Amino acid sequence: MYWTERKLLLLTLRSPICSRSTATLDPKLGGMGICGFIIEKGTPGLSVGKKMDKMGLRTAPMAELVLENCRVPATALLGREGRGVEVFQAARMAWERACILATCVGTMRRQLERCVDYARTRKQFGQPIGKFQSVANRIVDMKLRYETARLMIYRVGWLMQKNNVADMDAP
Amino acid sequence: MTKLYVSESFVRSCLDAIQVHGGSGFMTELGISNANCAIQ
Repeated sequence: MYWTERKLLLLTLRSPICSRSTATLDPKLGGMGICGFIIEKGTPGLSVGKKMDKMGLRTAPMAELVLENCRVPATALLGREGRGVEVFQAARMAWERACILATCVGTMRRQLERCVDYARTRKQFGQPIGKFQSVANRIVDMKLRYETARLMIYRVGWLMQKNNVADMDAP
Repeated sequence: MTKLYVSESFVRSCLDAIQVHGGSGFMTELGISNANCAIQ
């Protein structure tokens, strides 16, 4: 059995370096019509278009994947037919989001350290500005937010390690 | 849940960091306002 793609243009993540892709069987099926495929790079009819410019996550390049008269064997199907969303969700979304949030927590920590340094060294009215409540309160708020966010991220990591599921927590 | 909380608190912390630094918090040279621009 073969899947035949007459002409299809896809936007896929990491396509310049690997060839996992998703295709829609029928747009009317919505989320239940998405299939995941693993297609070998040299498959006739498969070509990778130009790399796209992204705002973030530049180490995971995104490009157009053009399938023209491309025959893909049924064994290339990833997961069950029409359940590509499951593959996508399980493989990437929770991990990706947890990793993105971890970088946010790192930036929060760096900003907090810089604010504490500045509040200690900058002097106004004969004392460091950290002695003023309007400044100290903001730093306390930042510290609280940072610590809570850090624990939440660790919890997501722990849940994923334990159950491999953190759908309710991560997104 | 985590996504909502962490991203909201990141934005608030960025704005607080600018406030703590006063006028110089706006300057791009210090790198305080850069994260705020990026996340917005």
